[in-house]
Amino acid sequence: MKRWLIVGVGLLLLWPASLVQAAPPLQEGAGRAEPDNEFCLRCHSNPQLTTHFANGDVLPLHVDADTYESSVHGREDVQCVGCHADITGFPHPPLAASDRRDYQLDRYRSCQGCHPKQYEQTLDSMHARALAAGNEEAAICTDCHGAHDVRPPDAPRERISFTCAQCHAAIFDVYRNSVHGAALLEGNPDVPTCIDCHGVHSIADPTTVQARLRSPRICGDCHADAELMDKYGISTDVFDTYLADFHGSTVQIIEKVSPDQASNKAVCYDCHGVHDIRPADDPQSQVMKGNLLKTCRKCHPDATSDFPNAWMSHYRASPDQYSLKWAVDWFYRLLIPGLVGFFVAFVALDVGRRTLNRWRRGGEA
Amino acid sequence: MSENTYRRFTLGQRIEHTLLIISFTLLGLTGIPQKYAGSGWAETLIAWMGGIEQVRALHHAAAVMLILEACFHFIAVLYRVYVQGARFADILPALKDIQDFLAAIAYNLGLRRERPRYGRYSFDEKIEYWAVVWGTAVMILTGFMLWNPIATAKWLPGEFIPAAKAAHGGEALLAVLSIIIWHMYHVHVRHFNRSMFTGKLTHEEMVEDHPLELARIEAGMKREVPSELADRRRRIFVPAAGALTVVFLVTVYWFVNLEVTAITTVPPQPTQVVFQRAIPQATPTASQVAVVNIPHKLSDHENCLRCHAQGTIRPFPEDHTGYGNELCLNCHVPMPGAEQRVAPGGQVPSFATDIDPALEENCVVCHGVAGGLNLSGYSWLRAGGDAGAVVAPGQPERSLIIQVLESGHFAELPAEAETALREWIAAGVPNN
Repeated sequence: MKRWLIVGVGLLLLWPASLVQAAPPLQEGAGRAEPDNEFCLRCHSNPQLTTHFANGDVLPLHVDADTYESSVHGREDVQCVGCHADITGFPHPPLAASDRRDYQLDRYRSCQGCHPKQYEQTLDSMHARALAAGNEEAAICTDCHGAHDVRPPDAPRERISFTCAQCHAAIFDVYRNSVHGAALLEGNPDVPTCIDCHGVHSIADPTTVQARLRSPRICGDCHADAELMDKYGISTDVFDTYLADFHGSTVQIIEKVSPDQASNKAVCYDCHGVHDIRPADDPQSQVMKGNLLKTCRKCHPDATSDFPNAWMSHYRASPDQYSLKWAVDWFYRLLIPGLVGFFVAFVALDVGRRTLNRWRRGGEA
Repeated sequence: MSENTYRRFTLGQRIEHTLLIISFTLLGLTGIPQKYAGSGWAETLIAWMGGIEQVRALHHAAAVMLILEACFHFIAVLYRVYVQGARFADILPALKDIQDFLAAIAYNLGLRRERPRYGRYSFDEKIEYWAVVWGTAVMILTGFMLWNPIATAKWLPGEFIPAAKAAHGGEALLAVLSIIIWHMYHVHVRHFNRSMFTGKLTHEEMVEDHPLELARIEAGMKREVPSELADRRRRIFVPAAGALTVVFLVTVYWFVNLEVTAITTVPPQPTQVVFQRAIPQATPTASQVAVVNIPHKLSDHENCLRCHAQGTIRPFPEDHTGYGNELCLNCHVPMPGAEQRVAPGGQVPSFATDIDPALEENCVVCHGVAGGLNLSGYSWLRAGGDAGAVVAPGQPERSLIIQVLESGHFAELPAEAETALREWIAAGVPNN
């Protein structure tokens, strides 16, 4: 009786356990060459699904199916395993990364599989260099583009600058109040976003001598474009008049002749500001007449009140503006050909007469 | 040389000319490419001369040389005219120069049989001399403005500086073209006049180019200052020239060193903070999502479903139905420190609430009053069974009840209860 009891109770207790052990593991994915998105989402649609790393960082494992399907990749029906190539089924290989950032830094390399050109461009970028120098916060593909929610980065256009603002918030706060930033946020399609000046994937260090020397041409790309500038009534002379003056011609020479030479010669942004560029008639503009002396003194601390007039403010000399230079220009414009013409004429006559004399003397002999 | 020669230039004048050649050539070579910055040939020249900074340094050095030469020339002319009695009128423009010029044109056009006859300096030489004087003055004046724009803007309107730049460039071009056309033609092409290097002209050259001067010399009209007068004048001249030299040198030093920041500017200031996140990034922490991570140790808890299957103490969500033990750890991992956590709260378990009910539910069906071990109550447990004591106070691992459970007793305690039992034993089997 006692033995029966034991066996009966034992069987009763074992029953649920044996049932569990007999439950089939999820083999649908493992059986195929590549698990499809539906298979992945069976687990990863769970908003609660997370895992965590040795340091306590949590990695959310939830992927919102709608978000993914409306992303550029979802619309092209890119499969999860297209990026997560190490996943071939379930269970997954253990996570090798030590923390969440470590995981991201490993994962984003899969972008190069389909986007090798862009990936290679990033390798020369300031971000890649910062990363290589050990700054793990430096932006990688997914920091700007997202991972499961990749959308066209320029739709709408201001989204580009918002993306940069994620890490460059202080600069964005300045930029958004600038003539360019404010117009961008109003939907203006012509003003530069961050990338129009800084480049996209190969974003170079903007503090190098080379970047300084190249910068006027970046501004000139738009500000010397008559069609574009006409829309806003902005003079396209700004680039040429800059090159015609000391600062511009020196910068141009240095760039062509000795591009590695350290230089602090003023470029557009030294006077107009970098991210805080304002219209020249804005009271806060660094190049507004009343503020110009202060701006000059950044480099020429001894400058006095009339020194800014030594710079013609991008104007061309005319009888109304910078008339003295206009007069001097015309003086030499007339004097040089006049005198040179006289010299040449006189010399030509003299040569003619002497040749004639020699010929006659030869004839007489 | 048997031929009769006439001295035209003193050694001093020839040295001056050499200084002029050197400084003028250097100024032109370093200046004209700056005027035409942006054109390929200018860049090539600048690169060849070692870059723009070096070109400007050379330009400034040559400018100083030219200025010093101009100062010297001024003093030397004073000496020649005042002490030596040279006729300054010889070099001054006169009505005769206009007549000579017209005559020369008429002769060249064949309207006149004879070439005009020149004195010591012909009209074309005077044009050149005064052009150099005028040009040098303009270049020094405008050069000063460009070299010292801040100082200039203190005394003159700022717009003088771009005007000075225009004049400096225009005058430079005029000077270079004049030298190439006028000077080169008259003393090199027409016939090579060596007098500036030898100091002498031949009789033939005098007849050709300076017949009136030759006539004057041959007539014995050499102007000689009586030596006594010359000595007296020299005594006045020397200290005056010395004082003038000091004034010139001080002025040139002032010219060159007046200001610094126009050329060597202050480096740009550092810019703002580059890296700053828009919103401090909310990295999810373990506590926020503790529900999916394992708050307790895994040893002795290998069977997750024992507690987490549907219908157990802490069931998993319904969508986990069908999941086996082998899946759990793929997503759920122990929280940091979970291995050290023996029970939620960390307090000593209560026999009455944590242990007795579990024993009652799981064990007493066999180990009741009828068996070799009775677990139905505190005193029975302490009393032990046929095999002796089953709990060793403070030593869970030495307690028979734990050893039997660990060795694979067919019936198990729920994990939480077993953990509580261990802790309760470790705490000294209190009757609490």
